[in-house]
Amino acid sequence: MNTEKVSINRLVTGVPGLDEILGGGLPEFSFNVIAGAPGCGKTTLAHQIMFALATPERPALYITVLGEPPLKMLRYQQQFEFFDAEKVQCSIHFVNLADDTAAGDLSKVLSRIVTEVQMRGPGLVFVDSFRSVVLASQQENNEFLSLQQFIQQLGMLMTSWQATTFLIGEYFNETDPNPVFTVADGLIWLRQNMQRNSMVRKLELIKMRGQPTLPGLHTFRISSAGINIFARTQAVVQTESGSTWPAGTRLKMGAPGLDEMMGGGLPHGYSLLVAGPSGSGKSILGGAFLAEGARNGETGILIAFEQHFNSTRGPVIEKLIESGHISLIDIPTSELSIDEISTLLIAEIHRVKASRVVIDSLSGLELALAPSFQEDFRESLARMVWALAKIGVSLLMTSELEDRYNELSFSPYGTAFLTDAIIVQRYIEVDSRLQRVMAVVKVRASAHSNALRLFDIDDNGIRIGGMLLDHEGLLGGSPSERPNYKPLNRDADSD
Amino acid sequence: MQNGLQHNQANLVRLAVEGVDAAGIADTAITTWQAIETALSPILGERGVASLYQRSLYLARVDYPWLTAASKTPPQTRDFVDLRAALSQQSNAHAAAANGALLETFYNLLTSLIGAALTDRLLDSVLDNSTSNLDGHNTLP
Repeated sequence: MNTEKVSINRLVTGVPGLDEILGGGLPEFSFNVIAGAPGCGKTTLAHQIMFALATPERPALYITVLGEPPLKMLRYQQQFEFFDAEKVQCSIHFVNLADDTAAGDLSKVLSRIVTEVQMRGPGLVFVDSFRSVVLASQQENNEFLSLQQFIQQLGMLMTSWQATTFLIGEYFNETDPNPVFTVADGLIWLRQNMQRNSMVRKLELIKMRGQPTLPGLHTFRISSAGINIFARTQAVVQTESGSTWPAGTRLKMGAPGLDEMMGGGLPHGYSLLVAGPSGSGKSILGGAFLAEGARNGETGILIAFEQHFNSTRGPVIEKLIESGHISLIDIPTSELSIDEISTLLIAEIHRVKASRVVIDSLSGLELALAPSFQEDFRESLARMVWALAKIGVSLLMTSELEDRYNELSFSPYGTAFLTDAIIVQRYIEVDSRLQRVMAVVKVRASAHSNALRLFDIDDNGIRIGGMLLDHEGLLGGSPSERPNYKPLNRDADSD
Repeated sequence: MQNGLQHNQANLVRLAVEGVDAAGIADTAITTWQAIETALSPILGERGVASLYQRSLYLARVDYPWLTAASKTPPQTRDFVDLRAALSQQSNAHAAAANGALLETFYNLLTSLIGAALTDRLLDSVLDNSTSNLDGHNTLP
C-alpha cells in the first residue's frame, strides 16, 4: 500500500515578513480570507501578493464586486512599486461583477465566477470586496442561494480548480459566527489602532490550516514599496544559530582602565546598560566601544535617536561610519514598534556581520515608539534584548538617569534587570568642581571592581582616574573629606 | 497606443477623403467604440465605462457642440445610438474629425486616471484590431 502523504506546496508571497509569519508561505490551493476595517490595507495586501505570485503559467483573476470602483482601485494601486502594468491582461486579469452582485443573486455571481475561472484557468483568484457579496445576500426577499451555500460551493470550486483563493472583506468583529470563517483555510486579520494621535497597523494570522504560524499581533507599515510586516522578534529569532565566538571571550571597552574594572572587559554576547545624567559621557563610551571593535576588525552598529548633527558624534566615529566599520541606523520616523526596530536592526546585523551594537539612547528609543507601544516598553525591550542575545551580538545601551542623591537607581525604566552588565555614571561636587564618577554595578557571572572611580573626558575620549579615598559620601553628591584618612594598601583599585 | 489612435483617426479621415459618407464614418466609429466597451466593461464595469464616455463627450463638445446630442439619453454605451445619429448628421470630414477628438479625449481621460501603461495594456488589442480592420475597410460605395 502506498503510504505517501500529500505534500502541500507553499507559495512565497513576496510580502516582507509575511512568509515568516505564515511558516514558509501560503499553502497552495488554500481558501483564504483577508479581513479588516476599511483602510487597513486589505486590497493593498491582496495586490502585493498577486503581483508577486502571478505568472503566465499561474495567472491571477482579480474579481471586483461592489465596493471600491475598479477605476479607483487601479489608479491608486499602481502608486505602489509592486504594481507592474506589464502583467495586466497577461498574467493578471481584472473582472468586474458589480452588476451581478447588485442584483443580489448569488447564484448568478457564482455562475459568473465559474465562467471566468473556466475561461482563464487562474492559479490565483481574488474576490474584492467580499462584504459586498455578504450584503447582497442579506437583501430582503432574497430567494436565491444563501451565503453559506455560496461560500461552500465557491470554496469547493476553487480548490477543485486548483486555485489559491482570497476573499477580501470588511468584517468588524471576528467573533461573528460568519460561515466564511468556518470554510476558510486561512484567516488574515488586519487592524489599525488609534491611540492619542498615533495610528498603528497590526496583522494577525488567526487561522492557517496545516502549518505552524507565528502567533500574535505583528505590526506592519505601508510605504510606496507596499506592505512591510515586522514579525514579532522573539518568534523570528527562534531559528537563529547564535554566535560562533569562543565561549568566555571578553570585548575591550575602548576606555583604558574600564576593562579591568569589569573583570577583563565585557563578556561577548552580553548586554550592557550605561546609565547616567545628561552630559556624563554615555554616548562617548558607546562610541569608544564601537571604535574599539573597529580596531579589532569587528563591525558595529549605532542606532542613534539623538544628536542629529553628524559633528556631535566626533571625528573618529564619523570616519568609522564613512569607512563602513560602523553602520549608522538613523531612525527616520517616530511611531515605531520595537518589532520594527528589531527587524531593521537584525537585518542590518546580518548584512554587515556586526558583533557590537550601541543603542543611544533608551530615552530616544522610547520617544520614537508609538504611544501604544510605550505602555509595554519594558516587555518589548526585553524581547529585543533577548533576541539580540540569541543572535550573539554584544549590546551597549545608554540610559538617561537623573542624578538623585537620596537614592541609588540605575534605570528610569526598571530595565536594569534586563541587562547582563551595568555601568553607572554620576556627578559629584568636589572642591567647587563638577566631577564625574563611574562604577561597575553588575557584570553577570563575573567578578568586577566595586570601586567608584573619577573619570574625565578629553579629546582622546574617556580617561578613568582614581578613587576619592579621602572623601566620603560621594553618592550623596557633595562628598566631604574624611578626617584622619589613612590609605589601605590592600585596596587594589586605588591609584 | 498614441500611434494606434492616430492610425485610427487617419483611417477615418482617409475614408472621408475617399468619399465614404457620414453614415459610413459613423458605422466605423461605432465599431471602435463597441470594441472599447467590450474590452473595458469586464474590468471597469459597464457603469464605469459609461461614466468615462459621458465625461469624454462633455469635454469634446467644447470643440464640437453638436456632440451634446450624443449624450442626451442615459448611459447606454453598448449601441451608441446617439453618437451614431449625431455623427451621421454631419459632413463626413467633420464626423471623422469629431470622432477622432472624442476618442483621443477618452484615451487621455483614462490615461489621466490609471496611467498610460495600464491604459495601453487594456486598449492594446482594441485599437490595434480596429486599425487593422480599418486598413481592409470595404465600405466604399
